[in-house]
Amino acid sequence: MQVGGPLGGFLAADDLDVPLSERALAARGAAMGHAGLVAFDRDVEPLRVLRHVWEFADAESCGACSPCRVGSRRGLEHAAAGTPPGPEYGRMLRLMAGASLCAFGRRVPDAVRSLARAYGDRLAGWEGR
Amino acid sequence: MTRIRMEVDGTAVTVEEGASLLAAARAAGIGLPALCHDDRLTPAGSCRTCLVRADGRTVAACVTPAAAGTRVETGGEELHGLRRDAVELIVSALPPRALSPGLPGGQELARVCGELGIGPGAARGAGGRGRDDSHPYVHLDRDLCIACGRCVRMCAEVQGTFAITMSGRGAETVVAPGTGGAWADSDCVACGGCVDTCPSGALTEPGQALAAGLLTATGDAGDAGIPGTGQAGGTGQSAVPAGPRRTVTRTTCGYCGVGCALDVHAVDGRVTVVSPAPDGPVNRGHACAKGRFAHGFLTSPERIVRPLLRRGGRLEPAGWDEAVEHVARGLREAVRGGGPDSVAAISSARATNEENYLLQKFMRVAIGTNNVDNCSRLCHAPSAAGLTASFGLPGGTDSFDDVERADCLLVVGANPVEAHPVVGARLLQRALRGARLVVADPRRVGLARHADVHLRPRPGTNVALFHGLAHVLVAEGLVDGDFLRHRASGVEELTALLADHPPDRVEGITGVPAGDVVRAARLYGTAERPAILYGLGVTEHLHGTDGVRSLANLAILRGAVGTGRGFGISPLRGQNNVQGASDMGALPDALPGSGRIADPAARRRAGRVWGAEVPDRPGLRIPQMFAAAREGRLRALWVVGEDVCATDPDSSRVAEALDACPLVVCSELFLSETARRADVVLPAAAWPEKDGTFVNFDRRFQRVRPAVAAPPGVRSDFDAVHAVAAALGTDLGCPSPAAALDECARVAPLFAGISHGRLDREGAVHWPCPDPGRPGTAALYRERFATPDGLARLAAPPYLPPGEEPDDEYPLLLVTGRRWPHYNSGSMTRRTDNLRIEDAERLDLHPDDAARLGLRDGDPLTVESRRGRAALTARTSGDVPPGQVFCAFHFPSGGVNNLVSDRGDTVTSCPEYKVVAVRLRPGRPGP
Repeated sequence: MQVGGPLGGFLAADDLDVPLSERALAARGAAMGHAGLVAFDRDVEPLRVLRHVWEFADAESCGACSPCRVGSRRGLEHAAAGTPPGPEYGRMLRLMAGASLCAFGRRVPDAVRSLARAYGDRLAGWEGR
Repeated sequence: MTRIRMEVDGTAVTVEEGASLLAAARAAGIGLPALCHDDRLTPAGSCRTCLVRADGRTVAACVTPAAAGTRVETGGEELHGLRRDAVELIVSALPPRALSPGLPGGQELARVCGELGIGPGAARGAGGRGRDDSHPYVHLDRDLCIACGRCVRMCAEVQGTFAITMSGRGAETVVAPGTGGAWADSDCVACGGCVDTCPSGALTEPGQALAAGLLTATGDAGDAGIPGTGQAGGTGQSAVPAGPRRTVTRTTCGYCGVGCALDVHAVDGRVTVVSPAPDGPVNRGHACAKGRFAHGFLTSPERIVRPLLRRGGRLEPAGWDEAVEHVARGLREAVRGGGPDSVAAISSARATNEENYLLQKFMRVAIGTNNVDNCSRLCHAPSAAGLTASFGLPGGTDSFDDVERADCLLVVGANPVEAHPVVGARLLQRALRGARLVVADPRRVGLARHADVHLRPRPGTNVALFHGLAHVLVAEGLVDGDFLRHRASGVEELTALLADHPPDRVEGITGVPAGDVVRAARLYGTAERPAILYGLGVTEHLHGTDGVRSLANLAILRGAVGTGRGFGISPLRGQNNVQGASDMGALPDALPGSGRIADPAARRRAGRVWGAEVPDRPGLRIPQMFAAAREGRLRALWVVGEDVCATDPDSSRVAEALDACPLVVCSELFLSETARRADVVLPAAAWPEKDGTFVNFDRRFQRVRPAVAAPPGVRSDFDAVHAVAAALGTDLGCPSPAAALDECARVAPLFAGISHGRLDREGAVHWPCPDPGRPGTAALYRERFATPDGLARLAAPPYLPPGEEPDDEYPLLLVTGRRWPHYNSGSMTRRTDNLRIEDAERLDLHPDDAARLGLRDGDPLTVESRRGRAALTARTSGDVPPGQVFCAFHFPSGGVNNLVSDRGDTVTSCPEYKVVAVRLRPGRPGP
């Protein structure tokens, strides 16, 4: 389940017993956002969801700053390749989150990290640590 | 400006309030990568490589303002790693060649990567976005673009052309011409600013590839050493001894009179790149399509590299000794037959001060005549005469640094955006940043688009327009009464004259709506610090000197000269050293430093230094030289570096004069129209090959240094004059250019404090500079004016009509001027790739006139005046008013100056280039 929009946080099936409030969602690594909910059934490949998030980032990055401009494309390339990336992926997420010009680039890493958390072992190696 | 204290890595630093954390870090001696930053540009914060921690937050230093007490951390493993990651991520999108040694351009990115330990392997992008090599000078490799936007900001904030933009989005973001097509078809004016600022090698110029090729071909695989590396200091040349000989030479541009300081890069004696000096006093790191790129003529196969002698009607190669002996013999015969005054010389405003000094000394000492003039006769002689009459000295009143701080700019009869591009760019930036701008020019010149008021007087009616402006200043009490009482004379006469020039009458004469006259006068009159800049549109008239004086009236009425409450009036001089040529006494009535020939004390002072008596009769002016030749009174004429047959008015009559003169000597780079008619042609060195000084439009002496050697067989004019003098048995002294300027300093009190040594130490020095131990004088007349009574003189010349007006037979008015890609007669720029930018002479005409005549863009046409005809190509343009046409004369084959009359300014003989009655005929001229 993705809460709050295209860069919203992901909650695993057994994490859904949570009040729909800013505070409660934040405690689980998600956010209210525009309060939209997108549910994924169990048949959806986790990597496909991951790729979907990166596709969104890549399509919507405006290109004004380099961390997001290059990072969004690099993230998509990793997701499309499908093999768990090396340590530079984590460094890239840290850079996007800490140094992007606007909230868009800063939020992309939260979304992909929470997705990796929600899928646990099924996206092992994609936590970006 | 308030200064604030803060802390960078535990060190206390003080910076100006509003300074960025990047500046604060630099103040603390800490360098940070900053790939999207250029000190000249608005910070963008786009590359995010200058990351620091400010009070605990991670921020981009370049866009974060310093605040009092801010604690900035730049060090530590984590921050260093973050900055490294930021650069590495950018690099990861670039193809492997981005960090390969020998890449043309991209030195900044390579340096940053080197400092951060990022190796070539980090660049692993796929590329494939392609190149745009359509433009002769600016080449784009899209794969190397890091979307930092520096080029776009450079184009907008320094050059003001707005030709390029960032296109695409996200990872596809890349610089592109704003017009969407090829770079060559864009609005780019080839200033080169984008190339200079590009950190990654995406934008390059051909010379960088040439240099990289020359260096790698000879085994130097190190950094390609193009702009930004190995800058020579204020003096001379620096050379790296091993491998190919690479030099960087600081010199002064030899094109227009702006006086841009340039660093000429050469490999093995061949110019590769010319980059604007970041610390250039006038250009401050900027340049234009001419100074920066148009150096290809140096190695043109058409360069004359041996003297030519006319034998049996043909010019044939000869040795220097033979040629010099021939000239000396001819001069001796001329003097024997007709006396010293049957010899004349046209000195060159393109040549150095030292060469001009030497040639006028040669004429006065070795020949014994004052028959020496220079091409300021054809451009700004009315400025010299007018400004001297109004204020006392023949130059602009204030330094451009101050003019640029004015809150109202009155730009008259000038198109600096094209003819003086660096000045034009700086003025435009001032206007964009809020200075009021009044442009007076019949055409919609570059700055006119940004003007608060654009006055479009009918050509030849300037004096009436200026009186109209003065009328409003007086009528509305916008004059400085105190200044007029204590520091000016001539108030009553002018006031009486101005009573006859109310705006509605001025409208009748000039065609400028009365309301615009009032609005313009109010803008100028209510400004706190107004400044006037003007060009040939004021001087090249039948009453050009009156125009200069009545324009100068405005500054006097306003108390905006000699007070600091405004920045006077400055002529935009055309040639690199036209100010200097006159300053050096290459004038028939003046000695070095403006001493008058008519003044016995000035003659004695020069005579004492020269050990010779200075002739007391003023010599011939250029037009008088030609007249004397046609009448058989002139027996020898030495023309240095001026193509009089292409650039002087009524050119066919000039050719007649040369044909009639028994000995014509021409010192030239190329076989010009004038050289073709000469009896002796002496191959001359060009400005990048010369040692000496130039004086720019705001009276700055600057050094000219040889960046490359002249081709074998070519000599400087300095050496040529010495050789001819020696053949005549005269030793002119002045063994070197430095010695010549030293001697000039002894002759001319205005320059007494100036020497090569001082210029090498200080860079630029304004004249007047009477004392070697004291600074030059940038702003004139702060205590008193240099007139005999110390007062500024208001002039009251009546408005008189131009020498020519359109009539039924010749119904259109032709105004000539300049186009940005070319320079004057085009002898240099046509022999460079600037020709690919503009390849023919075009006549601008209003679409209404074009429709009436059935002419379309690109149609060949013939322009006819009462003197002659010219072959041009039509270009419709709303920039010219109906009834007027405009062209340049960069292509002598067009023959434009055949059209111009030899009528000249009543005071100085400066030709009336700006008013020519013509008619148009479709098609090429018949036989």
